[in-house]
Amino acid sequence: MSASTQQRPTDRVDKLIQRSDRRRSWLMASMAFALVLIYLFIWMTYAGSHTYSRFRQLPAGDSATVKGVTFTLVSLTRTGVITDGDETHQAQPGTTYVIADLQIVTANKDPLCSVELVADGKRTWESNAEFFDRKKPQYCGDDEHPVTPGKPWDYEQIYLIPAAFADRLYGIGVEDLTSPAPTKVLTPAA
Amino acid sequence: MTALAMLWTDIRILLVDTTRIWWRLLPKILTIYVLGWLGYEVCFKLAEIAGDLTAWLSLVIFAIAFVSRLAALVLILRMVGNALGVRHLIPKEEQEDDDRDAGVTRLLALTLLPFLGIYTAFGLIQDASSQLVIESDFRSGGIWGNQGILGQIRLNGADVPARRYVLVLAIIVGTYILRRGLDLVHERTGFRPLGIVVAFIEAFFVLVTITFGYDLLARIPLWLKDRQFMVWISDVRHAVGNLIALTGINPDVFFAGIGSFISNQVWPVITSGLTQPIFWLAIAALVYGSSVISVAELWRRGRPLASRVRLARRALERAARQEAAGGQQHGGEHHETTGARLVAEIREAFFGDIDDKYLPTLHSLRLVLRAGFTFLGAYVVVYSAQAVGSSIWSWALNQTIGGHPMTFWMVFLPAQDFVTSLPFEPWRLCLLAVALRRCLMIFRLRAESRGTANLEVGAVEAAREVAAADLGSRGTPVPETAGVR
Amino acid sequence: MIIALACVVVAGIGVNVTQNISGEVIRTGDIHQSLRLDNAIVRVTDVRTGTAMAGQTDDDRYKTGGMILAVTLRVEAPGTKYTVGGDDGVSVQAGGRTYAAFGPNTSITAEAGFASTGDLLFEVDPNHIAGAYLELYRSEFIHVTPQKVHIRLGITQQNAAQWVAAAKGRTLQVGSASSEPLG
Repeated sequence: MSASTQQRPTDRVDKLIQRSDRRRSWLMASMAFALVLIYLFIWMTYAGSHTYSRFRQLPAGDSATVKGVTFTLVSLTRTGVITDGDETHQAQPGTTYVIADLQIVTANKDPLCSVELVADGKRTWESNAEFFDRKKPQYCGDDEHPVTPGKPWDYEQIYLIPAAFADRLYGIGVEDLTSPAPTKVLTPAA
Repeated sequence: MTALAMLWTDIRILLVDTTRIWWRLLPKILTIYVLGWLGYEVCFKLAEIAGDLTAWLSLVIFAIAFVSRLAALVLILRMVGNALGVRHLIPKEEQEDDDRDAGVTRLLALTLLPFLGIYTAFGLIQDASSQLVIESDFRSGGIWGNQGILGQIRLNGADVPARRYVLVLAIIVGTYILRRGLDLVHERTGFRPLGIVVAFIEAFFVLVTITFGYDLLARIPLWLKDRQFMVWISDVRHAVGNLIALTGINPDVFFAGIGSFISNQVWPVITSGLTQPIFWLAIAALVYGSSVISVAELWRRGRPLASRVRLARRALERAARQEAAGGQQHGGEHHETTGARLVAEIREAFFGDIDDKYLPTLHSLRLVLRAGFTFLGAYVVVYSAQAVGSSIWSWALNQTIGGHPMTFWMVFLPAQDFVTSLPFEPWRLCLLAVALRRCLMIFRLRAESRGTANLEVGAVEAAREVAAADLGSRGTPVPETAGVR
Repeated sequence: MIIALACVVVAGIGVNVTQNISGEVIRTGDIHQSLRLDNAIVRVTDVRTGTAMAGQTDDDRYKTGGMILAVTLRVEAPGTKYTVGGDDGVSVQAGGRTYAAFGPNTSITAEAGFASTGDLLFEVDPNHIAGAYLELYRSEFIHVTPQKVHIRLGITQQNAAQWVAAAKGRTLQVGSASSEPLG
């Protein structure tokens, strides 16, 4: 046999070996990529749960405890007018007031008890702090209605929201900044 | 050939060869690169978490993250170099002959300093540290304050307590001793994982030292400002300014104009266009071993590198000592006290490091710069083209993803980092290997045409002979078995 | 040798130019045009110029030797609450300069489901107002690539002089931001 024909079979074998080598290398590369995808997935889930706000609606009348303060939502009423002592405040057309009657029980001396009103689409509102002459206290540090540790304490939070969302409320959200768990949303006892 | 035609040839060779080898080795390169990236990311996140425990642990893990990145880089460079046949350019007699192993851990030790040096000089370490601050702030309200993870060891800023200088120096010295000790144990026992631990400690050591050196250098201008001769210089400047004012040009504007021209136009062009590619090529040269560098030097000058001679001399001295010690067991007198031997060991350890690790960086830099202007020009152009391509790619990516508030980026940032760097990094590393091979070929061609390419006699032989002759002339015993390996 | 130097210069310029292009995602619009910014919608409803401003209280008065630009901005937050401004989130860019907002409103917040309208005040150099635009983005304590909106204020080379003339002697009345629910 001449030298040229002798070389051809080995050339073919070489090519086969090369191709299978390359296939194996691509296999290893895709395994490495898979590892990266797993890592990215884990990271995105972890970071996502910690950065985006999430809400969890509790059954009617349930209470939630945050930083040693137990909150319960007694009732959620909507109204177009707020009486503040001698003044009456009319809600702007297209908006409505929502009064949340809350009760807390805590052993802390100076609890923090601001809560937010939650509607769908992760919308939240903070309470209006402009009323000073209402019967119930509007915040925990009110000197005229001090908090007694261990005993239930009633207060209310008034929110001004667009009327369109009055039917789409989830409830009162009690935020816990120390935990990545979803924010608990209280609903009034039926 | 005209210079322009030569330039074009070089550019074409670099582009074609790089792409060809990139395509051929793509799966293997991707595997290593991706794993290196993953290691860096995971260490980074671990460093954040460690920050809750102690800041020092966090700093160590931060240094380890860079080791991961460097390890991937080094492995890829070595693999590409082997595929290109860089080793074949060197005659067999001149292969690496050091009495230490040429494994990955040794390569890591060799390249850690220049690698971390580049990263610091181009502010990449500071960027990574700021990133750590941001993410850890986001996580837990932050413990780093404004200075970041390097805060404990920074010496910049207005009032640095003297205690901190002592602390940083103590850390540097302590880490060095620790590493040296582990190195010795590693040599004696040959326990592989110890090599990796040594690499980690070295990374920490280099990081602290470089930051220290950087801060000290930054203080020099401040210190200089208070010296008397600065006052003289500013007097001269005023005089010149007054002369200029006579011609009607506002001197302040003039000086500010020159200053801003240099700092805004000239300096960035020089640094971004020139220094980055050169430094990276020097690191690539290191990966291929000091034998590559020394051979190239030999071809260029016809003489072996001085540091190689010193290394060879130390190897000979060590062999002579061993022989003498061996002779003692057969009933000879003590030729050395233990004290002298300890001194010799310490000297060898310390200078060995300098010759072994730090000088090669300088040599490889020098080597790269001597390759000739045409080659350098071509290489710089191709490297910058790659950098430009990378910028355009991340611009396109940014425009596609769009702007988003912080919450989005906290989640999406690692993915974006991955996709941004993936297309261009492997290609860049191939470019380094190809450019280095071209560099070596240029030297070899030049040496052949000049007649200094001793392809039969090895450079190591030459270094050993020079060393042996030197020892002999000084009267120190030379081992009979001169072929000590 | 010269070729090498030329290469370095070309390379350096190329790298420099492109290094600064990536990073910002900007949407441009004109006044009276609604633009999306993150999950809110912003619109400039009025642009006025004057040489003095008066707020709601007697203390809130200011007179300038340059020119005061009052931009009335409406921010709608159909989704969650949105704040525009604060720190450097609001600025007017004109003639290569960046002007920060001053006065009673330096940021405008729209509660969820509401739209807020307020006047943003800027003290500008009347000689360099051609091509002025308002830059808006949400200023957070960490930025990677925020969404930015540029709104051209309708001041061109041709009508710049008219704007300046109209400003002379005019006092701008500025109130605090008002809000109304979205339909």
